[in-house]
Amino acid sequence: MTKSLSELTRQAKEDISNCSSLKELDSVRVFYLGKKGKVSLELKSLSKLDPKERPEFGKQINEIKKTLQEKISLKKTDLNNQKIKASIEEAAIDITLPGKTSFIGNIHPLSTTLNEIEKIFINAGFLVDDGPEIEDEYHNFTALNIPGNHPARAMHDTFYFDNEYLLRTHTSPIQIRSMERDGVPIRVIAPGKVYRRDSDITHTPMFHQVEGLVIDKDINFTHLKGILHDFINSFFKDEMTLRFRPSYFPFTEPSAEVDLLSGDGQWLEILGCGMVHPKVLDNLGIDNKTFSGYAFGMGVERLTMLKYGIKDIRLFYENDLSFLSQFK
Amino acid sequence: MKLPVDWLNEFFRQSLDADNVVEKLTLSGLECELVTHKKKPVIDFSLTPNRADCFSVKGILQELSAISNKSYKKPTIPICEVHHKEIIPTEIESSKDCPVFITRVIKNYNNKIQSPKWLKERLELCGFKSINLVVDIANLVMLETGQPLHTYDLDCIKSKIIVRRAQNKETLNILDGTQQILNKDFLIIADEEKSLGVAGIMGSLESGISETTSSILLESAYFNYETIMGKARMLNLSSEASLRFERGVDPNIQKHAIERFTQLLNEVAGGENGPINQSISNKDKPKNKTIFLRKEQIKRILGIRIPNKKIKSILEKLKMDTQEKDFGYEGWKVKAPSYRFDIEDECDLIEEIARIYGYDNIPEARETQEISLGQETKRLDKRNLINNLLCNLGYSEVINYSFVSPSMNASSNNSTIDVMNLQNPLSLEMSVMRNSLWPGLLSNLVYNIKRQQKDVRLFEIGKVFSSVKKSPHEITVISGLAYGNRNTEQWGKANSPIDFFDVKGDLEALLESFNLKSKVSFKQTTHKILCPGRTASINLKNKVIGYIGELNPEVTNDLKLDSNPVVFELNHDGLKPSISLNYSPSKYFPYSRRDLSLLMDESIEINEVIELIESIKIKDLEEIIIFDVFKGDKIAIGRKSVSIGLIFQSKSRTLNDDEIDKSMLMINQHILKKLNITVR
Repeated sequence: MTKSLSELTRQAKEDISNCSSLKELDSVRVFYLGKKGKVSLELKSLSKLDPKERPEFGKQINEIKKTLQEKISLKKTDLNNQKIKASIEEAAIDITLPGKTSFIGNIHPLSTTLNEIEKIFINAGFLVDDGPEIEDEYHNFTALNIPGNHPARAMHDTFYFDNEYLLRTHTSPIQIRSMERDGVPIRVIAPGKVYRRDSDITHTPMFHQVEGLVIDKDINFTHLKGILHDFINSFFKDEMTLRFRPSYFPFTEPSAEVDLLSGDGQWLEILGCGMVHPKVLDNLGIDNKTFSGYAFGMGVERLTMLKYGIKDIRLFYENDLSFLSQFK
Repeated sequence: MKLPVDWLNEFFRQSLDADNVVEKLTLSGLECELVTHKKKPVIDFSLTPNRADCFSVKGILQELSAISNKSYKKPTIPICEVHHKEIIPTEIESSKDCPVFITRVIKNYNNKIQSPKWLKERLELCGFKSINLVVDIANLVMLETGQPLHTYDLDCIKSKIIVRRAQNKETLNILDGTQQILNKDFLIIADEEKSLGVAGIMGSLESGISETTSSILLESAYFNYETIMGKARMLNLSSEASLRFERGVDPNIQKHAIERFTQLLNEVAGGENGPINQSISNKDKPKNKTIFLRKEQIKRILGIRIPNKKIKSILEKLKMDTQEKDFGYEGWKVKAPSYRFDIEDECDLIEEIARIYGYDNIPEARETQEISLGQETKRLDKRNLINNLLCNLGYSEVINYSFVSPSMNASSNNSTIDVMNLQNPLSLEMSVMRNSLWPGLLSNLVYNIKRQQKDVRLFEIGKVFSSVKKSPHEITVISGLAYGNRNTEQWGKANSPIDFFDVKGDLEALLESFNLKSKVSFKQTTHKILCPGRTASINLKNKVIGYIGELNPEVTNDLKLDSNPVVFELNHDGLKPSISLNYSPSKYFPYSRRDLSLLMDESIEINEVIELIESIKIKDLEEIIIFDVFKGDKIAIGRKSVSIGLIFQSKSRTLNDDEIDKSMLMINQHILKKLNITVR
């Protein structure tokens, strides 16, 4: 190799390693290896040489070219790595700053309870039915064995409209409508709003009930006890202790109230139930010699209050966001 | 009804364990609790309407002995001395209404004597106010025997007593000081000139016992409970007497009660007793039906086999007249005692057996009937879909009362529809059935702002009501409200107030989740409580299914809000979750996008432009994006700039520039020609 060539190589290598940016490196590449670059010019001087020396000189030039290209490529990788490293250092953030958020709403606790109840009974093969909130006397009372002057009507402080209509006082009329429409056997629950003229810490003039009705061959009281205990265990996600005690509803016989044993040893009334009264079946033209059934009704507010330890029923209808947002 | 434990104890050899008694009674179906009044234990009963027989000490003793095998001392029926022969003749118009009517005249008792201390105390523990000696004794006898008694000032009665139906619009001033207007449904007690009281409910003011009364007529009757039922409620009053009469009083204790009263009055204040004057119509007295009780039916309803011996002993404890015979089936012929009005059918007897046997002794079982699983999840699925979506969009669910104040209900857009008015509301604020959920949401908003909430988003799903041709009409709607800022206050995210289009976007997301977004159109409209120019109806197949808009600034002002909330309301029944989705296979071919900036009159709705472009049915035009809308600056007054992006994509090949150019030319020509639009 001629002295000038090795000097050129040395100088080029030095220039490459002195580069501190990709841009600089690129101009060094052009300076030596570009079309009019120093190495390229040397190649052009080939024609001036003795033809015998040409192959050797050409080979040397190509080697130099190759060496420099490798050197540049290495340098490029190096510079790139440095650049990424620097950008990473620059980009460090305070990861303790809070994340960017949007508003997230909440479902009303009564809806959550209703959903929960529906889910449990759907899994037990129940259909879900619905009925009007403005009812007539027949479905709300008469068909349920509560005739006109019956003292049991006093148990239901009823809101009336000017005509024969009223706000349903319980979800039981839905069971009548379900039977009228679908006949028997039937296996249905009916959730919904009900209304009574009452307002204090334990009563709101509107509240929610879920009615249940099963009519089939060979349905008896042991089944009623079984399904309600299963339901309560499932709802409270624990093995609960229940107490069935005799009570009175005009549309069931025998009738029972169900009490739940609370943590502090108190019996808390949670639902009413019973075997469907033969007169109710008669009213609907259902043969009570073949069919028997049970019915139950539960207060959704009461179950929700027990589940979450809410003491004042009115909170459900104040719709205070600080209350609602607790039920994630 | 309240009864002091001491009173019950008088009938037992050993004192009762009060807690135990309360528990036993509760588990036999008499809901009661132990309370303390003046340091004395008192049992407070909440009796169900069927157990008329338990409305007295006598009734509770009967029940206690049936459930606990305890025998008690039966009170002896006194027979009082008769001092004179005076009676008041009785005329009973219908013995069906009044099968038993017994009276006695007691004259010249010492009216200076007050009720003795023991009597006052006992009544007070039972929750009764002491009135005067005669009334106090009558109340005590009622509590003891269950028979309500009525006493009249003898001087007030003109020649005879008539038990008759009231005439229409007959008026009567009753003891509580009110004037009642009666009709033929009411049974009254009268003399030849005037009415003396509403039978079984309350006496008249003038015939009542006063300080100067020293001679009385004492009445002990059995009225047909069906005649009395509901009447007190019609008069908007309730008395201890009506409570008992309308549930049914034992038709065999009237004489006992009258003798007991006489005995007590004579003991305390003397008096001269007349003979007992009775009108009894045995054929009209309630008869306890003979009921056939089948062993198989007990098993069928209760699900357990109870031994015959046990059944028989339960019936006997309840004083049921029981015959065991071969009736062609295994069972009994049963007749309930005269005081058990609630035992009418076999099912009532089965309840009695279950009750005394103990509900807790009946096991739990699982049904063996065929059950089809999980067939009804649509309703739940739909609710979960809506709930999850709206919650994720920041809306919280609320539940409001279905009744509102008439002024709040003015938000209906259709003045031809009537509202449903409650006849007996709790207050004016809750007197009309809501015809929109907005009033509720707006009051929730105001409530929460008062509690320093700044950004409020709410939704509710519920029924709205109207009266169509005098029939109630109810539909379920879903409503939302948004107020405040778009985001929570935070670093690194610019914030701005919510506007119409934020809520429209939320609504479109909701519609899209029911596959309705492309089928629904929004049309500029007006609505009573919404801001003109910022109100749209939501239309599906030419039918209005809802509204969205900014609240009218006047309403905003009335509610003292800083800015207009945006609200929507949508018919909920029309939303149906897709039952099945069909996957369509698609190949990928690259799309091309062309942007256009259009200058047009401000009055042109974007939808008009889009629909026009769509109406040309340009091939492979896949989507139109609106990415900028602005006015002012370099745009002429009355004009606006709208930038749209047109996405072309074929399902079968890559499109070339020439064909897209041709399509763009068509669009340009069409829009330019029809809508006076220029391309920037």
